[in-house]
Amino acid sequence: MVFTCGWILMGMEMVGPRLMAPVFGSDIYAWGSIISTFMVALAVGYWMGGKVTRKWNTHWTLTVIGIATSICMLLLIVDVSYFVHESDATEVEEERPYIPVHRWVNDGLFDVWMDTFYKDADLLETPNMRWPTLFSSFILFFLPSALLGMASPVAIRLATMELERVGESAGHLYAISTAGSFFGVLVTSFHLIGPYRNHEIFVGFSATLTVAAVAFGFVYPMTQAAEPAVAPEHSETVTKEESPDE
Amino acid sequence: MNKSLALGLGLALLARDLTAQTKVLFEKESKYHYIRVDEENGTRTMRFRRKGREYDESRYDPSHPNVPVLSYTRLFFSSFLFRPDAKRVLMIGLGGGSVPRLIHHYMPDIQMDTVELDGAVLEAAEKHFNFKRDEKNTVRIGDGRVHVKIMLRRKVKYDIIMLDAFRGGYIPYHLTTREFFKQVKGLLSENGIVAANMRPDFKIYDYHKRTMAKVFPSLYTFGKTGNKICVGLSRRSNVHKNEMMQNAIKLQSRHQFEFRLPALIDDYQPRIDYETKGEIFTDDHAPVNILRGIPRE
Repeated sequence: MVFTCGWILMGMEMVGPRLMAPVFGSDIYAWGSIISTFMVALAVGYWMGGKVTRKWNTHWTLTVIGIATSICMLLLIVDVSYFVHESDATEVEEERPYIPVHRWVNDGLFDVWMDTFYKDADLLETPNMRWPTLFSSFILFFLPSALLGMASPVAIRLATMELERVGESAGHLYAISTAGSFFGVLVTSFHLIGPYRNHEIFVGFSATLTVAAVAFGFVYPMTQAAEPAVAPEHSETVTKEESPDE
Repeated sequence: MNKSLALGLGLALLARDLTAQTKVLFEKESKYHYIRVDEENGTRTMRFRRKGREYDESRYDPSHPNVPVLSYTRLFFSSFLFRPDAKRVLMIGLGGGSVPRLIHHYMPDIQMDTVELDGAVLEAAEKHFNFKRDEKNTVRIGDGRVHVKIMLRRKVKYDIIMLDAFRGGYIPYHLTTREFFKQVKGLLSENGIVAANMRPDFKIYDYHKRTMAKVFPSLYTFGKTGNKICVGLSRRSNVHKNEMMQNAIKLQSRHQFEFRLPALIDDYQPRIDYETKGEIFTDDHAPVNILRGIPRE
């Protein structure tokens, strides 16, 4: 489960700039915005996750986090062309274009930004697009990445049976999560962006995460019952094998 | 045997390099590229380096400043065969600035606006390609698509839009998609046209042209070898060769080009030279970086 969360987190970060470029350009600030959003979101997520362990110390918390993240990711790519029209549409078309939520948010922010600061500005002036890019990447990616950040402390709490071993289990889980992130970056940039459409990648990520979360919910208690002392490690390896099928 | 051959070849290359006398006039590592302007035998070339390869972006001959050197520069003038009365022209991608400079030189009444991503490219063009800005020949620095969007909001219209945004042999993917072409179409005046520079040697050509055809129902292609200029009309229409020729002759006598505009008719390729069935580029899916590595058969 932790492995999958690490994977999805970085996978999403790799696709992020592809969603921003059509509206804000593909400058380096698009990358900067996405990465900084993820960092802030992780910080908040870790903190929140730590709080959550005090209240709900059950393995279902991880499942809920996984499913909630999947829903957040799916929300980004929902087609809203029923309700909004392409801001730049020039004529009625035979087929309705696909307008995902992220495009609608980006277009909206672009318009607000231009109306606020560049309403009467000279056309020759190059508008500063850094801040709207950052704002929109916050709106789009903050929630899912913060949720994924929450998974780490929750998992550490679950895996820790004795106080002396808390360092060991934390180290263990960090290693697994970061290994997941490694594959998330590599597989997404090498094999997913290109052959697959952006929305297909998001659907794939959501599906993987949901499957992993639900499977974890059912498999974890079984491993606990069989061998309570080492159970958490087992449960990790079980979910670990499930994720690469995507 | 092989050794002496290699040595001979090496010497020959060396001799060629020595006689060519390349002089580096400009060199800059900008935010986006490594840009260099070389002078060889009196001709200046702007080159971008990407992944260890040099790509010629623009060429300028100071002894014949008003004649296009690279063929695609000349081919861009084919757009005027469809709109001889054009008053406003937009170019995306400046390079050495040859196209806007020549348009401004021969047709000073035209409002010529250019969008260029990289300020250093403009600097090189102004220093070594005799490019001069004025109120009729403007340059704005920034992303092509962002500027198109801004102009759309301000309801600016153009009669001709030229697309030439190359970054060392490849086009940024968000300037190839159907959504982008639709925005470009929105910037066109009635009967406005778009002219895109395309390299025909890779798979990306089929995709790019299909995408363009989806938004611009009538395409006309110019260029025999090397880069092609693809002219797209917003409405389905049949422009006959004779009509192009008449416009070329009219323009030639009106503006006294130092190169023969009617010769462009010889570059016209009426045959459909791309695979018309298949996927197109969209914002959701544009594997430009993969397709530009696959040669066409």
